[in-house]
Amino acid sequence: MSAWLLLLAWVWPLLLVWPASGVRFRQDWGASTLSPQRSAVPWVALGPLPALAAALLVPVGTELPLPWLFLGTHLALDATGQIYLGFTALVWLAAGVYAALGERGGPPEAPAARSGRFDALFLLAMAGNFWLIVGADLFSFYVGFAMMGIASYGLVVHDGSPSALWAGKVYLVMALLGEVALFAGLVMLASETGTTRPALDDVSALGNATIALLLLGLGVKAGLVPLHLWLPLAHPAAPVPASAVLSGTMIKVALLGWFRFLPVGDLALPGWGHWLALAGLATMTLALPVGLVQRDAKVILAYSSIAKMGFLMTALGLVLVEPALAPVGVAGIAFYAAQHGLAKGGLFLGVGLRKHAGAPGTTAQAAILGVMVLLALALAGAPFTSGAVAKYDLKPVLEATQWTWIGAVVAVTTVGTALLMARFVWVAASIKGHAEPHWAWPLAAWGLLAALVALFPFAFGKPAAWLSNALPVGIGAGVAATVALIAALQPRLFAPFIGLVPAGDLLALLTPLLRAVKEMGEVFLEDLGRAWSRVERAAFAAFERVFGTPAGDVERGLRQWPVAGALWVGISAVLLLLLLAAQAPGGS
Amino acid sequence: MSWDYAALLPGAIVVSSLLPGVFIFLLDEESHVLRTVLNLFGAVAKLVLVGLLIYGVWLGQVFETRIAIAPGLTLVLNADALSVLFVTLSTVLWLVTTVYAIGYLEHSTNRSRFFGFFSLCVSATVGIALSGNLLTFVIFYEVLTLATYPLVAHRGTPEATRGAKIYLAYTLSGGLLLLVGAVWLRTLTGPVDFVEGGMLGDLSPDLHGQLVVIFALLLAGLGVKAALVPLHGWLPQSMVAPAPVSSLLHAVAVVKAGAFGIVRVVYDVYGVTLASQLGLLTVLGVLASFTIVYGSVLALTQDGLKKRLAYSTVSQVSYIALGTSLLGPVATVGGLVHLVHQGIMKITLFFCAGNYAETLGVAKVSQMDGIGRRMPLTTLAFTVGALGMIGLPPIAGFVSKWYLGLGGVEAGQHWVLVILASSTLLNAGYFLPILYRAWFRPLPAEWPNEHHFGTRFETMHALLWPPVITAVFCLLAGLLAAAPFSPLEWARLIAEREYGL
Repeated sequence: MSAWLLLLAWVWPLLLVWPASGVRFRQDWGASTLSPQRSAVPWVALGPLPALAAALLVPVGTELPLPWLFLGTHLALDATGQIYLGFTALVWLAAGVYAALGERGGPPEAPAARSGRFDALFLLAMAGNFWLIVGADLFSFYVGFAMMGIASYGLVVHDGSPSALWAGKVYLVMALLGEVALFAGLVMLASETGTTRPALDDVSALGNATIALLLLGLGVKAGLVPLHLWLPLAHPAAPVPASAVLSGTMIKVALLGWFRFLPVGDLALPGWGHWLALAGLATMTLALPVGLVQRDAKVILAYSSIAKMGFLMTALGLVLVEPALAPVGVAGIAFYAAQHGLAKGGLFLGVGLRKHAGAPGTTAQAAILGVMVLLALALAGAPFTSGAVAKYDLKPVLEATQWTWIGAVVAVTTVGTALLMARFVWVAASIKGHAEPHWAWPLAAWGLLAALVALFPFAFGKPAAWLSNALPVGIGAGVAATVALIAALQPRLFAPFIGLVPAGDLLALLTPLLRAVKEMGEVFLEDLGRAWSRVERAAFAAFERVFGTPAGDVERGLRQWPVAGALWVGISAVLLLLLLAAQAPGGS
Repeated sequence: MSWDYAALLPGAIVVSSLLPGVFIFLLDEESHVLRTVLNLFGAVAKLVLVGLLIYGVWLGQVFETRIAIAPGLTLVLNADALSVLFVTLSTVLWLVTTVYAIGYLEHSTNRSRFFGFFSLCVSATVGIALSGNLLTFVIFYEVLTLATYPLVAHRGTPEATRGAKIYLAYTLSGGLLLLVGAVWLRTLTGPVDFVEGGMLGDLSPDLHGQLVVIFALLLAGLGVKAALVPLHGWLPQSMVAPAPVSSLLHAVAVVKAGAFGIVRVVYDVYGVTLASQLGLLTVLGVLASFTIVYGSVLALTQDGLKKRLAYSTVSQVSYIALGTSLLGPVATVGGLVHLVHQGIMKITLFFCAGNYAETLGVAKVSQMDGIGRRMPLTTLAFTVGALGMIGLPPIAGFVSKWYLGLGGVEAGQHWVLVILASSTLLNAGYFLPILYRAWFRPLPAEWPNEHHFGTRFETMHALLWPPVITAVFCLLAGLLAAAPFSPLEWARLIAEREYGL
């Protein structure tokens, strides 16, 4: 019975889309206001419940074949899927409670209509996210991926500001590019393996082009440098609950896709593995320093997400090089992704709570900041936090590689992450909040999420893990404290660095180029359109000349009814005679 | 030959819309009820008959109506799996379009003339679908041309007359080429029956040169209706037609007749093996690919909603030709299933365009700001159609795209993926901005020409529900693609029979 929860997990949010949207199909259309009412029921918060139940109740190894659905659907839950479903459902739940019960307002212009739209798209993206996790066939993955990706556009541009629209545009273009690359990759995978539900031995014979397309297609979602350009724009532009799921769950699905479609643990792919590991290192190297000089707390978090994804890509690359590491590696990466998802989702929600739940100086605000510090420590991997445990689980992967220097690099990035989190706390502390009603439920959900992150090491980690990372994090904390001290004494010293690199980094360099291309494209299209209509006009003119000329004398004569009738009868008679002659014996 | 049920059914399907059509011509302009009853009776009767046909063909029964019209010239109506696909599409969409047209033309003039030709047009389309030989095909193909002309010109404005004339000039020239090709082919082989797997396979290689020329003639003739670039010029011009006509033209009747003809000629006349040997598939593939990209690029430049949709049709119909041009059953499935999928998606989009124009006077993309809030159901249907055209799952368009891509790769033609990817991006480029305007921009203070029809819904019932129903079809065709009797399963059945699997 519980297998049906795998279906309900994503069908349920889809069913809620309509009630949540608040759209009324029957109303007085002549009335001046057409804004639908936001429903009093917190639909969005109810959306993730079946998925959470599925993560808790459905045993690993459950399968639910639905061959009639779509192009043949096969729902299943494996160990990785269970971890993914669990943390994904939790982050969506906390974000959903925040969205449904916290953010009541909205922009002054028709707030209810907008929030209905937001809720509907939020549920669509949620359904997509769950569907791709519980689907074992590549169609389920692709449907979920596409639904999630396209619906998220509406979340990113929700507030309608110019910066959100720009972020949305960048997001959409890159998401679509990723989508077509993934489509091509999956088509080639299906052709090469001959199945749409590839098992591990099926994918061992993938061609290089297929692997490249899969890496590129999912790399956009994962924030692989230089495909990360959308991420630091879109995550901060979206409303708080949307950022939480964008950063907490959606970017993680790229890793899940790679587990499913690359021969992870079956075949050594030294070339691709090393390439991916280096790309991950490059991602970290770029994201950490750029993140440090940002002003906006959400942008800092976005860069931190990129850096974390870089770390996980490095780990995955190393597993691809050495298949024997796969059992430890895959579990470790999934675990790390879960830890990061929960912590990052919590941090994004925390930023929103800082802004709305309580006036400055209240205990509530102090408590929120305190919890955020804990979450930031967990993200940085400080001892006794979930971050330390998660990192400990990936240690064997980092130690097994021939690249002995990688340990040192990772230690440096850990210092960097600690600095980044310190910078985040610094910025978050200076957010000036104001008290608004309705925040009790979001606070409670958020507190639960934070408690889970805090309890994580004691539930899952060995005591040996609790103290890993102590040295680099300690160094990071020390440097951060020094910098903070200097900055407090000499505020001008660091000022020039802040905002040095705009959010979206490389995109700023690309923008003039893009603008030129766009202008050229528009000119070209306009010229093409104009040239084409000129051709059309000329053709019509010629056409009119031929068919529009008045009939000549002969034609007028022929048109007279007696003439035409007589001719018609005559021609018919001749034809009939010919026919009879042909049929007569002796005829041909 | 016995006049039993199997021999009567194909003929009866054609007649079921022909007879009501003839009666409608005789009706008084004001006999509103009688005309509606006749229209709907014809449409429903045809649907029932087609239901019988589907079941029979699925069981493998043979349905054939033969009428000798002259010595050596036989009109053959024959139902194979491929005919059934097209017949079902036209019958179902005809019913929906009839309802839509009754609402759309509520207050206009010359309704008897309109519905008379409308029925003739569908009879011709069904005739094309059921044609069992090339002669029958050519006859119905010409009847279709003539029956559609008055529909395009229906409004009688100078613009409409001009568009209709252009339409006629293109299609009649195309028809002529087709006729020449068909007659030439007949002189080589005798009666050209459509046979699964092709009927020219055992022809002597000496004739291959002639066969190539004949193919060029046939392709030129069919390509006009299928709107292959550079023969597509009439399609955007015939946009002056009333919305139900545009819907039918783009989704079912004219454009599809051309595409269907190409499929017939390649699979059932030449046979896909011979066509591939002669290099004809390559020509077709290049033409189709070019059309796909070119149509989409031009669609980007259009502000008129119907014109944008027209160029999109130019592009999308060539998916069918593309599928036909790739050797292998998977690509065949992709092309054939798009025959249906493009139909239901495009008819949805045109219905919606008609609704916007009739209800709010909105005919341009630039006027569509906030329209999703004023007409949510229509805009939802439009959204489904548009996303389907882009090929996003789980809507029908994705299924076609998947099979075309897979078919291309299986045939070793990896460039197909590039065409599909660029088409996806271009489709996104001209559809997503519309969706953005409709859902994310604020409402204007006033619509260009707003009507209220006195219902609690956004527009008249007869206009509102057809696009909603076809949008549901688009979703179902995708979501239940693997279920029995889905368009996809039927296309698989055809491919199996064509390739003798």
